[in-house]
Amino acid sequence: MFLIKNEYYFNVLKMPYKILKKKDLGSSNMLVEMELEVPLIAKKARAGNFILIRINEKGERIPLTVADYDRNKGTITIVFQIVGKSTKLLSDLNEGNELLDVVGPLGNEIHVKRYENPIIIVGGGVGIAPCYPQAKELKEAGNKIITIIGARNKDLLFWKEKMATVSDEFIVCTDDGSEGRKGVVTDPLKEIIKRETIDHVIAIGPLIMMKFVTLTTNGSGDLPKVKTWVSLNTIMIDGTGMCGGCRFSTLDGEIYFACVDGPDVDGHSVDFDNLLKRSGRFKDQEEESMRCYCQEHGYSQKKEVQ
Amino acid sequence: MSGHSILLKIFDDNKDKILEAGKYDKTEYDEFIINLKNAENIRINILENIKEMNSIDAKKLGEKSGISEQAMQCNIEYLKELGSLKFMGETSRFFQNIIDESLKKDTFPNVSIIRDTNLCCGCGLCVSICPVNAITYIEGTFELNEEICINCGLCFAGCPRSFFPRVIKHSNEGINTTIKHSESVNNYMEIYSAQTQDTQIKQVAQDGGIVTTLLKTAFQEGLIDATLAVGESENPHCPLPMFVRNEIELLKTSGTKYSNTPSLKILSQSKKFNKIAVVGTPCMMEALKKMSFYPLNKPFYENISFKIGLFCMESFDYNSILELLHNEFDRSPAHVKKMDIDKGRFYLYNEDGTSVDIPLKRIKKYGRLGCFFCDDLTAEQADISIGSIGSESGWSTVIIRTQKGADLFERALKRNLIDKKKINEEEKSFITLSNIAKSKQKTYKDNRRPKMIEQEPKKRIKNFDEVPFGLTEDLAFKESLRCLQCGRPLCVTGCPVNIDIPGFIKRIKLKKNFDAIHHIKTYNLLPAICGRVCPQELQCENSCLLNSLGEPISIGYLERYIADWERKNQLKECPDCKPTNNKKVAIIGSGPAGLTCAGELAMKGYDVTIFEAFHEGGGVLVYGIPEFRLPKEIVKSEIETLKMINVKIHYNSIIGKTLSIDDLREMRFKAFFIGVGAGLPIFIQVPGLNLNGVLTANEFLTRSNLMKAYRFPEYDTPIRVGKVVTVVGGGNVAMDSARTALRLGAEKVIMVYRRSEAEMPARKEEYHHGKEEGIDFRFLTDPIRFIGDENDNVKEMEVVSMELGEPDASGRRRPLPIPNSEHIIETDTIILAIGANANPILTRSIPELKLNKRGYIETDENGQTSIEGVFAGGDIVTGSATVISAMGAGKKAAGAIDNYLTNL
Repeated sequence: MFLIKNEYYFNVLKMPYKILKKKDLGSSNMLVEMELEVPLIAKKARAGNFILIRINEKGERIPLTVADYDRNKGTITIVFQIVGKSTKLLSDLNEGNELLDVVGPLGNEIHVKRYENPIIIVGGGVGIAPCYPQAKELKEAGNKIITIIGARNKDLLFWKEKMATVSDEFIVCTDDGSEGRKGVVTDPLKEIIKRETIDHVIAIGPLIMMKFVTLTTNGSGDLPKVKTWVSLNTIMIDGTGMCGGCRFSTLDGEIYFACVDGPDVDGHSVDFDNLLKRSGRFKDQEEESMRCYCQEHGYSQKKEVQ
Repeated sequence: MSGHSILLKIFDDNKDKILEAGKYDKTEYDEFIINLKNAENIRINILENIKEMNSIDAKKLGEKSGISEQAMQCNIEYLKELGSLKFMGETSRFFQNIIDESLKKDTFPNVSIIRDTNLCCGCGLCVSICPVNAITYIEGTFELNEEICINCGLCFAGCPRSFFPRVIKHSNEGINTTIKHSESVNNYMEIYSAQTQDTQIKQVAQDGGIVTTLLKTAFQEGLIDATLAVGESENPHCPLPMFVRNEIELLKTSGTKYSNTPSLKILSQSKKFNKIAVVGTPCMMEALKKMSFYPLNKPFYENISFKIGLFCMESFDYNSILELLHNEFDRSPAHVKKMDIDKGRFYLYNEDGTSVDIPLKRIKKYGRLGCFFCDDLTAEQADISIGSIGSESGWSTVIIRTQKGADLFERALKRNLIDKKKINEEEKSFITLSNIAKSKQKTYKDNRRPKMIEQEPKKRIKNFDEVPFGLTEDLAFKESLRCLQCGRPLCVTGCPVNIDIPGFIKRIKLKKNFDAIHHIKTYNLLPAICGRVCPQELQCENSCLLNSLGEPISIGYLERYIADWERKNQLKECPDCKPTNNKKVAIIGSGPAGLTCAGELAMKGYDVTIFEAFHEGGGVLVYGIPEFRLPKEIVKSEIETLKMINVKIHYNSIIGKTLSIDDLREMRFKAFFIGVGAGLPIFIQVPGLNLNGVLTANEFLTRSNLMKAYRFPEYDTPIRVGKVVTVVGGGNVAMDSARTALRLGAEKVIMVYRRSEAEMPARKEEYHHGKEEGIDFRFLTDPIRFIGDENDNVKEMEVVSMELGEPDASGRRRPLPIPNSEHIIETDTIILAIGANANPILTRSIPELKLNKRGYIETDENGQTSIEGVFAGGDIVTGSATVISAMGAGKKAAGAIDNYLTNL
């Protein structure tokens, strides 16, 4: 038995990082789900963790949150939205292709235990995916899970069934009302908080959504204050606390790193305005990179990539 | 009082042993002890005065103690060399590095250190000085019997090469107004060209026959009853020091012997004579002069009536003479009648009277290494100095230096034994002599280290190519010739991984580059890296013997040269490895510490696997140090070498995340080395830290180096460099950031550092490069606020001017802000390079691992942590330091791991 275990590790260390499954999510052509064969990471992955991938020799290191894991199969699932060159490149890969590098699991896992009151999980856009393992682990621990997912329109929605299976109450909203409730995720959030005592809220999605969730739960209005965790997916290089590229500021001016202090952090302490400005700091370069890529591959930038 | 002096105690304890050795009788011993006690008391007194006055002013100290300034200076030199003035910041010349242990005992070390550092001039004085006869002289060098040695250090104190105070060098015996001084030949009264008129002497003597003539005069006048001179042993041309008691024996000793003769080794036998003359080389004259200033063994000194010095360019060991005759003339000494040097050529006379000659410079290489450090051609410390230089054939140049010398010369003249011509300073003869003497004075100073050709600053700030091109084959060879090949090399002790530096340089010298690289790699598997990024100026080159006398050997350049030669020729030289022992060792982190530890263990036969968090190996060598300082191809190539000796490396493996230490134990790893570095950037606490355009040097350099953002958009990782980049910090990382920013197109790069230029920790070479490239250094400047525009992009930095106050814990003067000196620097990018802390990812995953307050791993000196089988080294133990010190820690830990696993 010992010998087998010993060999197992050495064998998996030598394995390439293979894409086992790939499928488009929703009908926007912008969301992709991939299952990667990474047994060592799958063995350790927990809700809240992320991985870093590098597609090819010239590629960036891209952080992606673990959206699901299967310890037996040795796989993890990632979901990403095509926003720039690197995600476009990634989406061009197919089942059977390999990634050059995958490293993880990074970041801190969430605290899972049986809480007295229900937990609300709010997922927006591509942020719906990382909500899944959190809901799953918390549900398995015996918690009541109320899930709210939202997107601009129904084409950008995905994993409704999957999310429903790990939720005790499940609400869908779209900005344009093309599916579920018309409106933003904070509308049902307010109602629920008013309705019953909530242990905590977990919000994962665009920065602006997380900002408004924290404004809803910070106890500033007529609603009670509810502890709120947000998941920060900032710009990173190493993901191990070395570069400080992912750093964010609290409202008190303290500096933290999303990679080693998060990615899940107390949403009420985060200076979202600063973070919003920081997130756009490579906008020009990202556009240039995309333009070069599209020229090279004969894409019309507008048509193929939104 | 004797209780205060360790030296006196040594003599006291060994009294029987000393008397038994026979150099001193009871009376002499007692007299010597009295002298010694006086001298020791004076020195104790001087030390107290220095402490009291808190200054080392020879004049004032002399007045206070009532001794002459000259004697005071001799004592100060003595104390300095002994290490007693360390508290005043005065250190000994260079021995301190390796003899610290014995210095702690307040005595000098034994003289073998002089031999081992190739400084021995072969005068033989130490043999005579040793009170217990522990030193014997054989075949060009001496042996010291440690069992007999009583560690009194007198041999070292008396040695003319250990230290020779300048005040002695320029002193003259007795006050004499007729004494002149010349830069080239030191003190003298008159200089003559002279020739013997004695027909017997004319036949056998060299040049003018003056030495023999003067000695004959001294015998005839009854001024001496013996002379210490050099005769010939049974081996032809092999000299033998002897006491000559009369004129008849004297003739046998006439004629120059080119082979080194340790004449002073028999000086202790001179007690049976009342008045003697000593004939010898400049170093012997120095030895005798030094004895007159220090109470070292006076009974053998006081009967010396005349010191006759011989001009000497360099001497040759007997074996070197044999080699010279064989290599240059294909002769054995038995077939050589006489050797001579004249007009820049070396002559060899055959039995039949014919002669052959070669230029003098061809025999230089056979010269004794110790002679390289001698600046005395004309035996400056003699009563009278004699040699051929400056006179025509058949004549000798005679420099009369003291009244004693003048009297003797006068008596020979009166006896009509000598014909003379006066030489004035403006004459050609004097100028020739003077020039040659000066050339000896600056032999080593002319031996400059080579310069590497570098890319032009204007050109190089537009590319990421390496700045210096490396030495050419020719320059590397020439540089290798300068190495002294010391017996106890100081450079090796200065190297954190103890590379056998003379060993590899010797192989370059022999043009055996292949052997040279093989040799280096037995000590250090990463020579191309170390040759480039080690601070050699603080390590090996700082310790190099030549450094204390001139310019040190360019050890770094040579190491780089030989490693580049290997790569250029696509040779992959592997060190010899022991057969595998199948014991598994895990190395965590592939930085300099990890790579070194891995290589060392692989050579010892271990099955080594490195786990690296990044997608590339090398740690700080790839993410931190820029391409223009260390091309990444080189790091790759050095890692390839490791793979060739069967080191396995797994990338993307974060121990503490991907795999735990327990997983590694399951994988049957028996020992672990943690070398994860100090990667967590430190932030200064000022407002505006999170503005866009403010980033850590780690981020900036990682983007550019590891992710190759300098080639964006070809590479996907972006980097943003504004028009005016301001780097905060003064270390190598700050320097690298500033120079990278220039190359990425910044119009202006400013470096702000809160201390002054002198305290800057960056390597001098890099600082110099940065200056050449136009970096604007603002010393004594500290940021207090970063100011942004409406989009949170940084636009200004508010700084305050500083001044240096009292020294802080690090010994550097603490910078203090000057009130009301705040001012603004306009800038659109700020790079923080003020240091790093320990990264907690790994250490947090092993809670039982003992850390210090700052989060660094606690280890013993061999890298053993609080957990059995777990070792650590490099920045994660010490905090941010150098590449080579991390390598040193890796090497040490490898030894400890080997020990641990062998005894498991």
